[in-house]
Amino acid sequence: MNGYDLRDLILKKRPKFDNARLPIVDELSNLGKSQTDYTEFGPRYQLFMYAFMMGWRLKSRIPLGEKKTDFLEIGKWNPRSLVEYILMILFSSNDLNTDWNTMEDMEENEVENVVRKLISIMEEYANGGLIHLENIRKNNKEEFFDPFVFVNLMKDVVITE
Amino acid sequence: MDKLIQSLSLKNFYNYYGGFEHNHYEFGEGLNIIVADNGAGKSKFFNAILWLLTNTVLDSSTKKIVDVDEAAFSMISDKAKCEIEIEEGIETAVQLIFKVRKIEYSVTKFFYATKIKEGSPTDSSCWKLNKIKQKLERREVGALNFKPVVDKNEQDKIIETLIPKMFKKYLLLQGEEIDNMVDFSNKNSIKEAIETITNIDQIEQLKILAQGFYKRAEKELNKQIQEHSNNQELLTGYIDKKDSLEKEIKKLDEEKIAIEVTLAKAIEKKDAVYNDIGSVEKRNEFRRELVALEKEKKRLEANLEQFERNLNSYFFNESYLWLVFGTTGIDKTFSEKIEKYREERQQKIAALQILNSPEEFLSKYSSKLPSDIPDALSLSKMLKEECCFVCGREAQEDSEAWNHIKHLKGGHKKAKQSLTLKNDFTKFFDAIQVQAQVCYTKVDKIEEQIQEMVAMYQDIKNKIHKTEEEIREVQTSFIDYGGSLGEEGDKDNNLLHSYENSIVRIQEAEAKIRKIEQELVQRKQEQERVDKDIQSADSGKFSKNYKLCKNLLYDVATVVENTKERIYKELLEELESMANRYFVALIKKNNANGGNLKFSWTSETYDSVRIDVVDPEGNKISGLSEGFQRMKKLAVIMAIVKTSKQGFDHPFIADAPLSAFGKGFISGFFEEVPKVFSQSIILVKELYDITSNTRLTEIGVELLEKMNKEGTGRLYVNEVEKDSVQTNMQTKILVLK
Repeated sequence: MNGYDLRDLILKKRPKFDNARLPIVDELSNLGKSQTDYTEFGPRYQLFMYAFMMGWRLKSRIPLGEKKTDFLEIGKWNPRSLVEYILMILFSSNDLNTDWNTMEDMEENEVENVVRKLISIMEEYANGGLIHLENIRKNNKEEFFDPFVFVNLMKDVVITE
Repeated sequence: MDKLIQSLSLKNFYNYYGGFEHNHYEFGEGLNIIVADNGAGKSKFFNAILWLLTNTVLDSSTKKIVDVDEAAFSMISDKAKCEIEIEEGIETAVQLIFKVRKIEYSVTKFFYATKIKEGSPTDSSCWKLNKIKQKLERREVGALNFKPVVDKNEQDKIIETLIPKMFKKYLLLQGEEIDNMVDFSNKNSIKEAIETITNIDQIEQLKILAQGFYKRAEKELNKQIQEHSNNQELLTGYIDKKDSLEKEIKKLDEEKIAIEVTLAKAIEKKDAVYNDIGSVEKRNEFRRELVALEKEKKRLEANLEQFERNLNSYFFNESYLWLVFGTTGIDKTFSEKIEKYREERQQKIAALQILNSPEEFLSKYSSKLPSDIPDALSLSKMLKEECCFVCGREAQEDSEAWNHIKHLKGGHKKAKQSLTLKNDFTKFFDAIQVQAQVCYTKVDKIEEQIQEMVAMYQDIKNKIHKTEEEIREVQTSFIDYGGSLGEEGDKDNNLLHSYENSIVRIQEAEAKIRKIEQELVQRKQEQERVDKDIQSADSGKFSKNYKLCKNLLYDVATVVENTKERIYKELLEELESMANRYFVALIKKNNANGGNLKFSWTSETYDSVRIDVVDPEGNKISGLSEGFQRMKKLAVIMAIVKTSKQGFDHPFIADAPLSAFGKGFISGFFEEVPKVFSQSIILVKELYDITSNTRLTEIGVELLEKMNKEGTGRLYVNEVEKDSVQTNMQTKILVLK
């Protein structure tokens, strides 16, 4: 397996949201739906990327429940550079707990397991980020009427990081 | 001064929420000012005065004066209504303390409202209102306690002394009412003003009496002449003719007066329309401005909406990539990892090489090659030059040494081909590093970009706010120029027709008057002839004393008539002169030439006067702004008050007298008003500036300093919380002096 094969393996994956998060997902990602009074994300993968970054900043990795819903495969996410940046984050962190050189000695099915773990970590961080958004949405609803809400939330996390 | 308002207190009255102690104003001699923005309680204060003095209030929605009973429910503070439970009650009240010479009076008007069921504070069916009551107490100045005045008639009489009925229209001045109040082309308007100023009606009575006596004396004389005439039949004919002519003259006079009234009305209408026409162009200009401003506002709002909708896209846009905000150092960590990966990988490959063929490795690399085995390129060069660079000896082609070098060269190729790993992910990690580069090079610029976006967002919002303010200002000017919001432009188109019709009516009336005057001249000449005929038939034997009496009474009637004319003329001249003095003083700080006021009689009987503004050559100045028109009328009011022969010493209370006024007018107004009125209470918006610490404009601060220096009057600022809803509206009173 070479680098292209590994990339293909990752890009074909369709990450999932915990079904318990779907209300906040639907509320905040609004492509093709009627608009609400506050700023939203477009497609679900954008919200996923934002939520991942939030969860990762917060160091909040929360496993998903049993019921999950997938969405667009990673290969179709835009912009590509951000997907690469997320991979850079994941491969830089210790979460994966797999040495890159060790991966090169693995059998194909073992590499697939690593990729599955990688996607799972991604989902868990995004889940942590979404739960954080849920809490703020619940306790400080008016904050969401500020068009800069997602910028502010991100900045808040950076400060407390 | 004789009459002085000392204080006004309000309780749960409109947005004056709470008890008297929270809504209390003290007033002194001279200028007293309450500064308030729109909606902060000016008109409500004025309504409290109206309730106390006239039992009416001005309905702000219909702009009509209504009986206080009709408006009672809407007078109760909505905030108070919202805070009340079922079966609880609210008292709404106003209390005025005033002094008439050495007696102080306290008049309170109040009523109770009880909540009978839940519902909107504007739903009157949820409330039961008790009858409005009035309480009046008095005390000597300096005495401790007030004592009640029980008799209702006496109470009303006392209240009336503060501002007598005849002066109310001039002294309780509501800005928008000025135009209707001072209308000197209206026959009754001048009559009322003259009667306010003097006791002229007594001379009018005298004139009627004198004319009556003269007519009777003339009849008696003619009767004597007839009785003692030789030709009674002829004389009877003369007298009948004279009576008939008198009746005709009287009828023509009446007709003339009626047509003069029509003429005055037509002129009034023409002038009113003329002013309106003068404003049509201005209104159209404001309409165009409003359309442009509304369009600009919509554009800005669309920009803002678009901006807000797009904001999250900056997280993902490749030129911004805000999503990576604050992630400095990720690339460095990754670079370190990838370096380590490559290094370990190299070691792993070398290790694999040894593990794959240890014998060959040992034979080829440990015995024949020095520690630094030459590379393939060096070996090729050695073969070409037939020389070993390691030991320096010759190695001719096909010699043992040359073949050994060739073998070594072949060994390089062989070793490379034999070493492999299960997977090769180098390109995967290399690609991550290359493709993510666009992200980590952005990280340090994002903070600045966000700040720029926040500034841009604020800028659009400020522009919208500014445009809204401009819209409000243009709307105010539009209304001041007679426009009505939501009105169609057709109304202005009709004005021209109305103006033309008025001119036709004036021409018709003037033609009729000329015709009547000609007829009157004819009848009067005829009457003179008949008089002469009667005189010639008189023997003079019995009528001498009657003739003397008639002539005497004629002289008396003429004197009285001339006296009335002279008094009217003098009064109007005095009014004109006084009004001009005030007009000049009021407009002196305004750069534009306001001209002079010219009073002209539109009737021989001095019943109707028109006031025009003329230039020094006497030419009528038209198209003056609303401010000048208002000042003209204010000057006349001040002149009426100052010219009054009845001794004038009452307070002057004006609500929004300065709307449509420029800065120059405002300064002039506050300088002149204290010279005419010994106490004035002025409710005004134009001195309010929310951005100033004192809440006053520059002119307001100057006035405050002047008042502090002179030690007279009071100055208050009313405020309501910004954006507060009606049900939570509460006027706060700031005492500045």
